[in-house]
Amino acid sequence: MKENHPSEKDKALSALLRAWKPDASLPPRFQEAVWNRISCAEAAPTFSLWQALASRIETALRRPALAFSYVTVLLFAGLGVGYWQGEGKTAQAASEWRARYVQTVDPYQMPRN
Amino acid sequence: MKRSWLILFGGLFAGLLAYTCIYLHATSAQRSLEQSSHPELAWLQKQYRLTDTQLAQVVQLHDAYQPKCAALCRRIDDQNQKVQLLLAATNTVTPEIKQALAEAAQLRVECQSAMMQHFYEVSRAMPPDQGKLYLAWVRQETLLPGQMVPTKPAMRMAK
Repeated sequence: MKENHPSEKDKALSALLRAWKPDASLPPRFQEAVWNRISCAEAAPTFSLWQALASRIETALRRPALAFSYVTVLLFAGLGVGYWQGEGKTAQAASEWRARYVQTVDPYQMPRN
Repeated sequence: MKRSWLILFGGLFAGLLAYTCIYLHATSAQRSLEQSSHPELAWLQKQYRLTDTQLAQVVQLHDAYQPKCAALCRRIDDQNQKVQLLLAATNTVTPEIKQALAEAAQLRVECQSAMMQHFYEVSRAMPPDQGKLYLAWVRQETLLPGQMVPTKPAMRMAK
């Protein structure tokens, strides 16, 4: 529906708002309390990155499923890496001994001083 | 709170412990071989499943062969040095160079024969199937073309 006289309504609303007098009174020392809260908020300790991380870790490891998974993964990672490196070391040593044996029996491959 | 940290560091410790245990277990055979007086022969025992008696026989053969091998080694070095000197003194193949090369070839034959004789003796000290495997391996390592290239004496001459 088309509004014919919008400015008249605005004027009426403005007049009504001007005439409104709130009868509630502010609590005692209201302004001081506001400023106190502002200063307290500014002085509140800020969490460092480490603290935030520690907090997150603590929160996460409180969950039994996650804690169990964490320990299991580390355990299997340790087993896997240990086995892989041990096998590599053994293979390398075997290769060295093969070469050393050949050097001890073949005059053409024997190391010269 | 304490429980979370216990889990965190306990997990890390468990991983580290698992790594150490499996690594030490996987390298235990290698460490015991390293402590023997002849690690390469101890490897031979492990590789070709020799008994202690068979290993003792192999060690005896090895020790008996070593002086012959060292003597051949010295003769190879001397012969190579002779050839290098002759080659450096001229820009054509002289009868002396031909003679020196023939001697080097003859020395190679002698060396190969001594090696093969030793390999056959060692293989006979092994169980038959393992002896065959050993012979195949040493032939591949020592007698294939390109294996008997005397590099060091030539390098020494170049200095």
